[in-house]
Amino acid sequence: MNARWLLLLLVAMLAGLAPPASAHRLNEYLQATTIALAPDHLTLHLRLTPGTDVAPQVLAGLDANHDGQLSPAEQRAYAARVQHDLALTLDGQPASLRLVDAAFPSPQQLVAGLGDMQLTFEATVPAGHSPHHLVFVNQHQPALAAYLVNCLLPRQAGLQVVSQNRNYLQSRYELTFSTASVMTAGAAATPASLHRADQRALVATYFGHGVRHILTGYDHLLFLGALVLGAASLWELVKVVTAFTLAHTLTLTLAAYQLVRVPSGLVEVLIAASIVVVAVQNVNWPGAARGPSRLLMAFAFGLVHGLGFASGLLALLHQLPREVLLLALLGFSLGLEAGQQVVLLPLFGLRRLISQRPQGAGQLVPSPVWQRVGSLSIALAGLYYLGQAVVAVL
Amino acid sequence: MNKIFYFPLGLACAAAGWLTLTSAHPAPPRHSPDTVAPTPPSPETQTKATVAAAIAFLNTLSTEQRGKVQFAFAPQATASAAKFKGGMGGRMTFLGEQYGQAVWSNFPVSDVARPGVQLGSLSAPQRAAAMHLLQVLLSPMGYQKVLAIMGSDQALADGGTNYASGKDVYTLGLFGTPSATAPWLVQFGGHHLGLNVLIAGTHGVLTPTLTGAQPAVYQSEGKTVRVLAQENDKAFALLDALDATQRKKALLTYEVRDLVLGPGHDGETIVPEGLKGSDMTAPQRALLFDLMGEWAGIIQESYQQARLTELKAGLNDTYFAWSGPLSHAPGRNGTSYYRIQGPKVVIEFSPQGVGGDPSMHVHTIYRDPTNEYGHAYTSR
Repeated sequence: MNARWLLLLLVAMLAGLAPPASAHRLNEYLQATTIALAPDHLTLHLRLTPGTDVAPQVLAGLDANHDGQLSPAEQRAYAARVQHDLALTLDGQPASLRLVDAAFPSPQQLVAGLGDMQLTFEATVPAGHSPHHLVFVNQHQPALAAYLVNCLLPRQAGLQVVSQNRNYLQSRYELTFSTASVMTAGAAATPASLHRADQRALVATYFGHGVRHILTGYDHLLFLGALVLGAASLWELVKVVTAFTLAHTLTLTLAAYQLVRVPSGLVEVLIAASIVVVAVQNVNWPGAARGPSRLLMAFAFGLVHGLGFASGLLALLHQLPREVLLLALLGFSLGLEAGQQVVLLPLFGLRRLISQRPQGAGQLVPSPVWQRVGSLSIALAGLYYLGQAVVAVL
Repeated sequence: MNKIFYFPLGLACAAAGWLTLTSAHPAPPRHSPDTVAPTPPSPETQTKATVAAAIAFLNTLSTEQRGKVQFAFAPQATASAAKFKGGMGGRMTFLGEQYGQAVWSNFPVSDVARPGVQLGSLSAPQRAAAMHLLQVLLSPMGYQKVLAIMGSDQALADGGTNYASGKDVYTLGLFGTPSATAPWLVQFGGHHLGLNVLIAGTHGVLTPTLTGAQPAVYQSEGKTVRVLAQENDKAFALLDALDATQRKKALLTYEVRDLVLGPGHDGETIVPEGLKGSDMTAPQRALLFDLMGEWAGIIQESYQQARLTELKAGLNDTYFAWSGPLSHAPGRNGTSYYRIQGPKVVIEFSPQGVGGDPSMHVHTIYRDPTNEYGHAYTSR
């Protein structure tokens, strides 16, 4: 990397000496690859453009007999040399590339920096074994090269890109994609294609995501706070939180499998509204806040919060294949619940601190003043979120 | 305190909060017409004005010139990577994008000839009519951007180039007959500028368009002009507004040395990368939207509304990706690559370190994969 910048600096200094400014690439050999995925094969399209300073060098390599022309044999030989400098690995096994098309410019255009060589290769994707893992390495003329690698968005149903990874110079490119399109009735079963260790790792990763999501999800935390303040007793709180948890797990699962789709703007508005409604109910209708209507509200709003969680999960997933999705969902849900407990237990402890025993009753209830101040604060915060959410939709 | 008071108190606080929120977006004053920004003419009116300007321009030309500037318009689903015959055996090479007879390329006109007439070949009144047509097609911001880019190429020409450069070689081409109902296309460009403006009744489409600059900073009439300054500064403003977690998602871990979807890549969509709009806060999305406006706002305002609406609708699914340094020298553009990709937009900002100072040489593209050359309106 340092050598490259030094070279550029040197050329920049030299460019100060050279009279005309150049519109074209100078001392780089641009090699741009696009990968197109199909269910049983993939196509690599390479576009090679040598800059004007390096074109004579590249041309010398192309024009073996130096007759100023690129014969079909010379073109084939160069295509073979490029192919030799490429390495494609699919699912851990080297994959063979087949040259299917080649287009070369004239030597004059090449030297003028206007020449694009276009090479198209194909490789077979091994059957089964989804998701597939591809590694593409380009080592053609590394001293001159500027590499670009991109994957085209698959158009066919069932083909999905899971992740991409490149090294800094884009000379090495990794792609994980799934070709899963056959759904069996046992789609909910844990996939055999992933090793046990991978499964555990996946669940653990998404567990972390779930915990992080709820601990940084201030709107969800505010809602939980309102529930805690409104509950008459620990047992009531447990019932209410269970109703909430059941509901949000239900919609999280439905939305993660894309069986339910609600615009995220609307979900945000409803979540904010849920905070306000519950908090206001605490203040003005504390009796109802301890009754069955609170259970119903916790469930109903839990459905909405679950949709909010789902959009958070889907943002992380980039359309994982279904079998992997189940594990991710499992991890994420467990993380959410764990995070919820991490928040609820201290909150409940705080509640005990501010509580007093009302006359004649055996249960601890939050002192009315604290309950109201707390709920009002939550209501105000909820109104702030509501305002933001509504403005975002407009 | 009696609990009766809590609810009104809450409402009063809520009202105060709401007022604070809405004060961030002040409503325009209703009783002082001087301060209200003029509403742009309706698209119908605008199209009539555009047609009038185009006809006025054509009328200044001789029959021979008209034959050189006007071509048939052949709408098709996609452009083809333009093949220009080279050397022996008619070997093909790809230097741009061809759409019917229209050619979209970033190369100097001496390398890739553009269909149409060069400004330098026009007399003074003809040239004035041509520039007036541009002023009618583009917004004031867009027109100034075009002038700045041309000025930049002129500065390049003044320093000496071994290819055609300067304001005079910028080429204007008309495809189809200017009409208030049938679609027609205007191309204007040369080095570092490739405008495609399709007018189809009440619709005006600017994609695909490329802008660029070299040198990005030059002197004109005693003033320093920095071309594509807003494209640079607004992008840095968005980057600076991100928090550490968001920036981590936005930053690509690899360097990008050139445009990925320049001319010749029509119909290609790459897997989106970077920070998604739904992971941004509303103010950050507003910054992203404002940045996209530097391209979407090039066309005349009357045609912008439909485009801006669809860009806004897709904001949550729009990605912002960055590769390179996180700061730039003051008064200069940065040397970092960035990309904005949404369901209906691809924008790339690619400083070109082709042996020179990358902050002084940049290529950008602005595409809509669902509506290149307005084919959504021209294909029936």
